[in-house]
Amino acid sequence: MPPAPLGDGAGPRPEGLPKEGGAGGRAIGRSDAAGSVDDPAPLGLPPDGAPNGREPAAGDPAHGHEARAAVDPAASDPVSGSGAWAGGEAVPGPSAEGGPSPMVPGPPAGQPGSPVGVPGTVATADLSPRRLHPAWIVLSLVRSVRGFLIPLVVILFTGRLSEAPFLAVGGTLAALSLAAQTVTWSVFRYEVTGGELRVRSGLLNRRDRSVPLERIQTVDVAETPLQRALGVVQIKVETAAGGSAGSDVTLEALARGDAAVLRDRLEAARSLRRGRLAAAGSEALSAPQEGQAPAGSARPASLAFGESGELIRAITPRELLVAGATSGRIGPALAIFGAGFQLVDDVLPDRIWERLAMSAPGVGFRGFLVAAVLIGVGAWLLAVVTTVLTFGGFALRRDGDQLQISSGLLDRRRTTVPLARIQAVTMTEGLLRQPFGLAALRIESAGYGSDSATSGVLFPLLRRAEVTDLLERACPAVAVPLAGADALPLDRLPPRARPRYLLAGIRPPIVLTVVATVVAWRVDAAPWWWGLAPLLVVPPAALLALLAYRDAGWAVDARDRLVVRNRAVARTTVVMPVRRIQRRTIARDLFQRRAGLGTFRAAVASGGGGGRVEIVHLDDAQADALLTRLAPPRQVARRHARRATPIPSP
Amino acid sequence: MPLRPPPSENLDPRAPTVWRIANLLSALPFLAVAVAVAFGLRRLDVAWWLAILPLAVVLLISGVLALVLPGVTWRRWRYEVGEDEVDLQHGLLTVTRTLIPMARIQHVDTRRGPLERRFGLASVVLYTAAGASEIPALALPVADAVRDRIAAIANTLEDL
Repeated sequence: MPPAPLGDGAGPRPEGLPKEGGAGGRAIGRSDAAGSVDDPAPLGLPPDGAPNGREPAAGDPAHGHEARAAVDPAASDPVSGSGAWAGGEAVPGPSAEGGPSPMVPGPPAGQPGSPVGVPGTVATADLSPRRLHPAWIVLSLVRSVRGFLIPLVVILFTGRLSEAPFLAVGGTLAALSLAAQTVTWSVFRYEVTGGELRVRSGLLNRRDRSVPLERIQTVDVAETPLQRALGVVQIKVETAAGGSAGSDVTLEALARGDAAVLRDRLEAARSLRRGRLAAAGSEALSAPQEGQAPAGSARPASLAFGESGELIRAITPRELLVAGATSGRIGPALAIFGAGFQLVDDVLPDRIWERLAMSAPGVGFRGFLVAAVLIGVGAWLLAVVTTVLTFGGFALRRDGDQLQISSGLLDRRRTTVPLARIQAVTMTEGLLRQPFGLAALRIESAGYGSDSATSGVLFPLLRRAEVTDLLERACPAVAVPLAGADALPLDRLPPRARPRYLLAGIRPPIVLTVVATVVAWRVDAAPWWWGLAPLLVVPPAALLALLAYRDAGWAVDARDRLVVRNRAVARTTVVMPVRRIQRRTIARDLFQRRAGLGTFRAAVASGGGGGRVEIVHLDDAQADALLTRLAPPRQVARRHARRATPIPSP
Repeated sequence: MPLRPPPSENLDPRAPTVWRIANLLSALPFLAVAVAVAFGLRRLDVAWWLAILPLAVVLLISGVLALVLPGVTWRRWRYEVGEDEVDLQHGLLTVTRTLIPMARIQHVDTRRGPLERRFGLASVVLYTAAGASEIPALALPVADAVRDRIAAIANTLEDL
């Protein structure tokens, strides 16, 4: 087999061509899935493959990921070699077998059979059609059973399982759905061909979905405990169409080897495209270096494939516990408690509560209090546990032009976020965390020219003082000093905004008080003054409102980043590059106009509500100045700049 | 510091007429219901002034909506398509000023309902990744020009 074509736009890479592509290729997972996973050391997979293809990349930081992507593909896929391309300017690479691909007629091969890639070209090998791992059948059976879980438990409890009708109906249903899932599985195919990811499914209603590789925005790898037990992982491919139904491709059960191959194919295409855009390479940081390998192999083995890049920060056990203790996620925990009670209520005999109450006479008010405290503590512990499970093993890595975020103890997932998609970053200081100088970071990211947006946790808990440093290393485009002595000074609201904040804060509890008092007065069940209870909320609400007034602030730094700080309950600081701002608005209502105040809003690309900032009651002059300051930098008019890149049609 | 001057352009002068007709048409079902209610109440021997009270209320509201509001709305609507940005300002109680950079505009639509077609008007809708904004009721040639202008400028800018 001829070596893979290589190129980074600068010319053929002299060193590092795998001399024996075929020998270098190793079988991962199933034998027909042979493909080289480019990054042997940090993979946690048997080290071999593409033996000498890797070294030059490590020595060449700027083009590290390009080289990786280029080495990967055609080197070792015996099934199909041609028709390969990646990114916008790809030219078909030479066939791996020196002949026409068995899969596709293939685009006109530039230099068929040529051992050396055309300068500035890359190739990504195809992947022949293949099924998911058979474990998919189990997964989907479990999923369909999940809905019947509670009735099932009830049946088990009531001991009716052995009755014949139940057995017959249950058995038939189980057999039918097993057959149905097996058929569904057996007709499902995915493949990479002609620069597209294609997924075919359905026996009667055939569905054939094609996702052009260059449209792929992120490739997420995840596994639930069940998937892990079955030895499979899940890959989710997101395109710019994002939320709109059916635009994503989720492959629920892939053998780890297959997943590694597929992910690298997809990632290679994507990162090549991005790599070209960041052509100068100054922005691209280091390729994985020797020193990083141990860090990589220390990750949980199953998801470790393809994990690469510089480890920026991993969460420590202590941070994890603190994050749980201060998460304020008691609400969801209480909801889980409620569901638990409901379940117990469904299953246990009807009069269980009454009997419990009878058995403990004289419980009364004190009992209620104790129960409330116990539930509160339980909910808090549950919040700690869920936080630990969600963010356990959290690690943030940067691999050239993208971030890799992996997290989770039971449900593990790894998300890849291209730096170029990051629209804004938010630092959140919860009420419980702010006094300790702790904060959490989120990023808002979006697809190119699309409405899709996702916001994700960039880091679940760290000290405020470390935020800037982490941002500097992870996504410098939004790294603004937010804390400490050199923090960016913020503009503040005028004093006449203060009473308005106060009024807005205490209005809801006061209105509630009036309503409650009237109700209590009309209804004879309770004395009228019970209706005054909401007044208790007024002092904290007033305090919060004054804090909100004091904390509100904004600034635009020298590198054109807008910083807006705000408080609802938690204090949030949002950083968005000015060029990312999609629209900015000043709204002035009747009262604001009389007082010479206005409300400023700005939004970055976002489908789902995130990515917006708001400053309420800033001075008219300040508002206008801000509006003007945020005018987009004068654009260099380059006619059809983006379309100038040739887009090969598959 | 002097405030930013408002955007320079008004909507088409025929816009209020179109809005008046549209609002009257949408008020018709309510009027019909109110008339029916009035007849029904009269049959039940309710005092005549009480019977026509709902009708009066509906007439008053639709009168305000159809006759007064469109004129005020038109006066408050301003737009300007500049070299770098589109500048919009509108609103009665809350006056909203919105600036949309040309480079952020994904695509532009012109829309024409049946009434607008009859009057030779069109709306221009600007789409960004953060949502859509509309310039309502421009004369068709103006709307087409605005759309083409935005599309042309947006095309020449390097997409980031």
